[in-house]
Amino acid sequence: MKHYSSVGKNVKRYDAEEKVKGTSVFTDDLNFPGTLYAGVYRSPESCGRIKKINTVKAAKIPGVRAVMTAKDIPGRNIVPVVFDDQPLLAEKYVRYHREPLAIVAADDRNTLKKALKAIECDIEETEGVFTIRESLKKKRIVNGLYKDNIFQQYVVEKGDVKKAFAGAFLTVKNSYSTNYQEHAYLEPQSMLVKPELNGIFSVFGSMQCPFYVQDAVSAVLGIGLANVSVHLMSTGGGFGGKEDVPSIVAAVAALLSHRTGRPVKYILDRDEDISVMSKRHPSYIEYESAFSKNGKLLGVRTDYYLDAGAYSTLSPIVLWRGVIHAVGPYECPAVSIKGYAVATNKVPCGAYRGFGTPQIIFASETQMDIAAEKLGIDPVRIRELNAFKKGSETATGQVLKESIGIRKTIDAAVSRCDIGKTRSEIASFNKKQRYKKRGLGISCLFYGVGLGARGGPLQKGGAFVSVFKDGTVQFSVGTAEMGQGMYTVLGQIVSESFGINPSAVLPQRVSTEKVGDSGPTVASRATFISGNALLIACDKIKSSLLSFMLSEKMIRKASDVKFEKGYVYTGGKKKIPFTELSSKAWAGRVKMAEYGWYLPQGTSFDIRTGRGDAYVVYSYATNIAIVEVDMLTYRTKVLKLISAEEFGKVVNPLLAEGQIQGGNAQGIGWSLYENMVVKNGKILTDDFSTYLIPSILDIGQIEPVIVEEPYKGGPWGAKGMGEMPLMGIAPSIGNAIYDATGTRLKKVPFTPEDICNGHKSK
Amino acid sequence: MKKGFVHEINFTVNGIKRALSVHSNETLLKVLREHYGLTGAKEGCGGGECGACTVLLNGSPVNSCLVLAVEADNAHILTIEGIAAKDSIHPIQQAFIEYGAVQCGFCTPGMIMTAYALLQKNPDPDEAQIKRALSGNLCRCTGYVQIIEAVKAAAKRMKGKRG
Repeated sequence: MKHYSSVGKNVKRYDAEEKVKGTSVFTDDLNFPGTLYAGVYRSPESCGRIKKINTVKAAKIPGVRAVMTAKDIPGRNIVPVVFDDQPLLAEKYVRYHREPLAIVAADDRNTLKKALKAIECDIEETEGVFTIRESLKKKRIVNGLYKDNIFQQYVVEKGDVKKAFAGAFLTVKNSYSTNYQEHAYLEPQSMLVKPELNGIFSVFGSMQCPFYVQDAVSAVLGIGLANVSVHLMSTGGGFGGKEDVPSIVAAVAALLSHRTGRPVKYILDRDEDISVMSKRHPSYIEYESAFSKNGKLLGVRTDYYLDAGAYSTLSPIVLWRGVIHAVGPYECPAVSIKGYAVATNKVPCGAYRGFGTPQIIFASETQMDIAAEKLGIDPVRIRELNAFKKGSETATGQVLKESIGIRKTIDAAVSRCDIGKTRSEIASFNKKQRYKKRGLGISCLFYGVGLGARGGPLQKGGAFVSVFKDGTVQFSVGTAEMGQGMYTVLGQIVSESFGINPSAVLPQRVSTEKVGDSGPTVASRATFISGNALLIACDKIKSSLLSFMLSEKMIRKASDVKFEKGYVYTGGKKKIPFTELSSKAWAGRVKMAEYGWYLPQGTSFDIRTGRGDAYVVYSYATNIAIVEVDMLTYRTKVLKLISAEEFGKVVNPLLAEGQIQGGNAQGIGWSLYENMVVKNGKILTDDFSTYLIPSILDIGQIEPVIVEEPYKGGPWGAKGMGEMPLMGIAPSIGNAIYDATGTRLKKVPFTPEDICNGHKSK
Repeated sequence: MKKGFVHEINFTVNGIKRALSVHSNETLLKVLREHYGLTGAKEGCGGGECGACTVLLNGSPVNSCLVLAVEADNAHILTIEGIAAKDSIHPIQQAFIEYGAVQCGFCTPGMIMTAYALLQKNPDPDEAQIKRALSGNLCRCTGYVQIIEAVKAAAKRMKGKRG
């Protein structure tokens, strides 16, 4: 096994010091002289025809520098995502509450507020479509660009499902539903656009996808992509919420900057951010599973509906990921999976950590538990029985060849939990306690790393690496740092390649000026894609260094050379410091700045049958939750969460644990506390005292367990992991609540009311 | 703004005496960020719910988005920029770095200020006291585990120093 010097170590974050000192520059901390403040006037109705928007009064207010509506957009009035069906500013119809109608730039925030209040609109309200059920009736069409209310549908078919169900010992059929989840990144959406010389616009902002933003600004201004430079500022969390919607924020600021010739800053207020930015899709799922007597999964039939909102945005690919992961990390010879992204007159939903999988994993992992109980098999055992191994086939018919860690994660979680002992402790606690009941629940999952086959042209990544004459190294990539620690992890990957200390390697702030369009920072892909691109660049530089050493007779053959511990070993024990080699190579005019371009290979998907090698590789996780339910108030507390995760080789264990703990906490939030209330398409819970994200008091013991199963195709064996920690938390908690109370919950979040009703109806 | 709505305030910010004319409706957060360029305190919600704007007012943590600048008259304000000299680092800051308590960093200054106030008043807090003190500071990235570890470690080190 390879010995690593940098990979696998808890290297300190590059940006930690500036962040603890409060000097890290977020978008709102950035100030240019003459900066204007932008705001958006939004529809008071969820659905209707726009008769008039009156901006005259607003425009006359002193200090108001621009008021614009759809007709003032010099380029295309769209938000480019997948289908380009969303206007930036509504022109004829409004399709969701608070849809943008007009935009304003003013000298200061007070004037801006006054101007927004002075705008009036006349909207002829029409009846909206607010639920998946209503939408499917097709009585009213949400978006006239489509013939029905289905933005996208997918099927995955395999084997003879009818036969599988007919021959099954046990079939389990249930309906499940889940509510929204709001990202609640602590930094609201923020963008600052500044006009430069020669018709260029600089965009500074908080985002996951600089290249999406570049695209959006270019589209609305009607200028070339080369006229738009996007620079990533410190980004205060993303979780998917800063995938596509920063395009809207930047487009608003860009239009106003273009109109006024001034820098324009658009920072959303929290209520605006919660009301209009993307969220996790609410879902409705019908799920039917067939099992043999000994617990083998024989067949799955499921219909999976996502409540997409008024525009398709990312729903087509969110749905696709959900469909691909619908069965879980299990062998299943016969499947019929149907997925639908359904239009409603509500805020468009989009990407959120897990991307369409947490909903369906909730269904599939609850089914697994129900089946285990009916078959009299231990819930751990039934998962082991069905879990993927080498040579297993996924629902889409992909044969798994390597780095399949699901069984390792089950073993790791079970042993960390000391499950036998824990169960007997729970049993004796429950015997003694009348008003408090404890329970244990498990869930397993897998996750396709990167964008996969439906990522199409976005499946790529670039990197630039430059070695200086003093042996320090700079690098740039096209994926974003949003708090997850990407800069540090990628720095470790580079320093490992040159065998130097990570402190000698520095990331450059991400900008569209530095590398080519590398696709989005989503799908747990940054380590994998940018890491591989960086290694390609490093290898090119090392190859030039080798040629140089050969020509200078410093080595006899290239295979003698090793880059380790700050030295370059030139054969046997002979070595020179990397710094010295860099200096010599510089003097020898060696090319020490290289570009790397990585393309993941071999994914496929047949849209008619749903067959194909959906993703290059998968990561795996097993969660065990231990909960306590108060049988008087029916409130649930997570006492302990054990998350065993396998994502290839771990590059930075401390950062990975931080991702696991943070993802687990968001999973606890979605499961128990975060309950978005929407009435006639209007979000009522638009602040942190009504939409409750977990506070420090709501989190029990969280224990991450990292399991390694290196993947040859990953940078130093790494896969991706950012999303998994959230994905399976709801079913582990739901299964634990059942274990504690005997109440089976089929709706997320698990509210005290639902537990109470379930308990009383027995 | 009418003349009558402007007030003169005198206060100390990070040890420096300051005098300033402020409007009645200006928040302490706005004054710190826009007049003094102290942008460490962040606005995460503007409604006193997230704690990202936490600074100390006469030693106690406050949501500076909810404190009017006029309320800071004659007060001592301490912000994240003031807890350590430019080239040094406070033990709480150091522990946050070492224990991985920082991810996106937006809640971090507020979190550290609340922890600072806690450790001033209670140098040896147990886990429950740490949690209670930090319950007004939301973090969406970390799941709080490494933050709790960092505060514990900082308390231990600071106690050691005091001897």
